[in-house]
Amino acid sequence: MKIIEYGLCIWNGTKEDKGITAKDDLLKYKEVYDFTQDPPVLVYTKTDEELYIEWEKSEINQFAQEHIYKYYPVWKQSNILREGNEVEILKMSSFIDAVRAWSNQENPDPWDGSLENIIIN
Amino acid sequence: MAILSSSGLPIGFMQIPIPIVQRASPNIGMITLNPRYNNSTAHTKLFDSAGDYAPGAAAGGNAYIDLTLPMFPHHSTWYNKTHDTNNGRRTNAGTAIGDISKVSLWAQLGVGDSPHPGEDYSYTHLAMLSNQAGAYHSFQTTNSPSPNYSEPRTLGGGNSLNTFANFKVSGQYYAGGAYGGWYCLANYSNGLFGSSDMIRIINLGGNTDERSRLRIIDFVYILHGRLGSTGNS
Repeated sequence: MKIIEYGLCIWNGTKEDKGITAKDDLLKYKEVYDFTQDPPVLVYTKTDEELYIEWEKSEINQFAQEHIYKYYPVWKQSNILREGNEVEILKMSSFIDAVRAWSNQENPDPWDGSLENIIIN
Repeated sequence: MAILSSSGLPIGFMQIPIPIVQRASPNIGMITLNPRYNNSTAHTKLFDSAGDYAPGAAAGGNAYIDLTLPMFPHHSTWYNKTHDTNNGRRTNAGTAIGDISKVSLWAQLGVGDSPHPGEDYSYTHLAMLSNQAGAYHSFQTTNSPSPNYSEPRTLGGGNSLNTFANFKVSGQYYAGGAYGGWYCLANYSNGLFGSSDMIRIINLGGNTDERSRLRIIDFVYILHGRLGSTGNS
């Protein structure tokens, strides 16, 4: 992931190395404080346009894979295919296709709820 | 002979070494950075534009690496006190680290691709930035939304030659760093870090790719402190 601040990359590495696991974790880079005050005063919060994450394709694919595995781990996919129930196969395929479509769109946001909204119908 | 304080109490110096890069670590390993410039442009390069902060290498890829600091390196006393004076606790000066606020920075580097290439044959110029939480800009000290790119948040501050905006190292590289050596980049320095949680190392270069390629084999910072019966002793 890259964290972009006012157009400049301020972090180029994994989210784990940066300790960022949710959107709220970005707040410490968004909030600007006047430290001459006691206690420090929040003077500004950078907008989502001023500070945001650029995801690597591999990271987006990882989010997608984890979401698919949550509903269809590999063993379950194998069993559904082996048993050959067409309704189940179609349901699984639709779900996986929807997740893949999410991951293949331009700049998907894994933390805006759009991925979680993809469920089995 | 013990070093005694003004009040006649013994002073004990202590330090906490904190590895940032360890060649042997499976999680980090050794880092290779190609130079931004494979010519003399690097000799006098300072920060003055946005492109100086996350530059690409002449040979492709990035000429910089971001490293998480495994412990917060701030050495100021942010109102931190253990309210007692027993067992090295101190009330007056906050913490043993904050009492003297000194940091050292050591690195084991490989410069160039060759072993025993000769004195000053393989060299490169480096820059090091740290960030600061709560500021308008992570990598500039400008205190307004519009950044001044000539105000980099280099370690220790400054944007001049022979500071952390641009300093030269020379050496060699052989046997995966086995014939390396420790470079003291800062010794017992004040104010090297602010409230940083990462460091960015930029390989500016200065010679050919083969002579200015950088390997970061090991990298450590050391927090120095002073123990005593009370904060001021």
